[in-house]
Amino acid sequence: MRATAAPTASTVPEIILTLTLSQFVSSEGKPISLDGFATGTKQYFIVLRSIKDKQISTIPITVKGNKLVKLRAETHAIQRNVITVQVENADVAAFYARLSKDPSSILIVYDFGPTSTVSNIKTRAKKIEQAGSNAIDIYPEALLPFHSSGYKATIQIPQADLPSGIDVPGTAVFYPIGATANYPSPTVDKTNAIYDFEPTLTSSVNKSKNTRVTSGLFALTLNPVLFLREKDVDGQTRESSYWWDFRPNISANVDTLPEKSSTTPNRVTIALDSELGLSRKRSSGPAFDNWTWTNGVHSDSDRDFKLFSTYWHTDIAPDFWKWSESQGYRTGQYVPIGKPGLGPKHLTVTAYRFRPSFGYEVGATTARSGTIDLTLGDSVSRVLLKLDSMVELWRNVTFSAVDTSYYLFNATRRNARGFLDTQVAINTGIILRMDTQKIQSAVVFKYQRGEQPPKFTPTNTISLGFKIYK
Amino acid sequence: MILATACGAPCAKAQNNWSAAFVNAPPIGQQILVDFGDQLAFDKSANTVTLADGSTTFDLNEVTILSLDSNPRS
Repeated sequence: MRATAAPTASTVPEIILTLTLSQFVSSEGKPISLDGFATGTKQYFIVLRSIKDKQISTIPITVKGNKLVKLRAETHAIQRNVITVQVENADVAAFYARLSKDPSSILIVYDFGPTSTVSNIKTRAKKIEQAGSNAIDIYPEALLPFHSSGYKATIQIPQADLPSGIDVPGTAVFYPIGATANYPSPTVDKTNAIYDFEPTLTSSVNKSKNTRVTSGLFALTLNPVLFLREKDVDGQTRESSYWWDFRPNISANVDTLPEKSSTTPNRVTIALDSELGLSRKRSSGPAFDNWTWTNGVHSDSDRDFKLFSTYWHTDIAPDFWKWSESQGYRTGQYVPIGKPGLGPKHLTVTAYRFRPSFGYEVGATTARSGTIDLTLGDSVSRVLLKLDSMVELWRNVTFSAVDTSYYLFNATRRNARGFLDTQVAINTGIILRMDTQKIQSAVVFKYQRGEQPPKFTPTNTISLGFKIYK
Repeated sequence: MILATACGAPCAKAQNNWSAAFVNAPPIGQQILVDFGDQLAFDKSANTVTLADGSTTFDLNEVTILSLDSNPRS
């Protein structure tokens, strides 16, 4: 290679102490970097030719490498069985050869963060494969798990296997390479905390008086998930996993009419529920089914707390594969990050739910004041079938219908009762700038019809209002 | 140190007090500073430098660099 030589610029031009060589080019005239290598040193010789006798003098010079060796890990949008390590400025074949001697020496940690109730998972590499000229695919023994939020996957490479040129503290045994992983859970019911407040203007039919009355109706629901614990979600290959939680529930529907003439769904419910869930893998494919068994003590009362029903509630609800899909799951599956979508860029149906449940309630009804309806009696014994369905379009328009059918064993007549709650909600979170802290807002249109505990008063209402929820 | 095979011409050993240092600092970029241990006389028209003792005159149009790999681990 050739270099351009000139006296080094000096403050005193007539005194020249050194030569400066620069603009190094190959014999073909292409620029060359003398330190463009990753590690170690290179020995060069500067060759100077004498004018007089054509004798050549050489001056040795040692140059240290100036390129950083980089290892970068990335997960894939769909494949949960592989993490790819990108290698820059190092010999991938030599790195692969060292790692392939014992792939199980590579540790992999899935860290779900301090707010997750799921314990971190530690696993090893099952096998590795060279993926092209600058990457290595690492296949973990435990698949990258589904999780309700993104998490960190860290690959720990044994220090002895690293390409040279990576600075590792002398005492460290492993070198960590971090990647983010995002595989949302297919179902979100068990991890959702619900806050819902719906002030509405309601038009209700009073059947006995054959009139229609307009009033305010306020609905408030607090339904947090507490103490969620999961078992057998350590990433090992298993047929099933379990979860359990404590789910207190306060739900109030109250209107502004006098109690005697009110025909809106006045009901205040306080519930102390616990859920036991089972996720069971299907015999084929990656699909799994969920079963949720709920048990708890409920207390129902009218708006003025005159009549109380206290009872034990149990129900079982299946969430079969494809019966429910959350927005995050559907959009995540549809357009994997970093890959071109296979179909239209936007989903029409962005979420849906069909969740039946079957339950039984047994207890007693007491009156603080007034009388107990003789038709219903003072004991509670009823089965209920609940069909909870929802379709969300374009992320912002939600149609939902919850139909609950009761069979009252102790009623003297009309043992079969039912209550239908339908709703259309148009999300206004962005329009009204109220989407902070994940609290959403919506304009809501509701239709409610039927009878519900504790009084089973016939209701028939149309409501238009506002909804704040999380 | 003599590079007899690489030169294709008579080679001479560099003086003990000759040295070279490599620097790579932006924005100037890569440079080698060659120090001959004494002052140089520069002939701008011929583009040559002559050592202080007058023993040798180097042609600056014909400065080449040879490389030998050392410690090539990566």
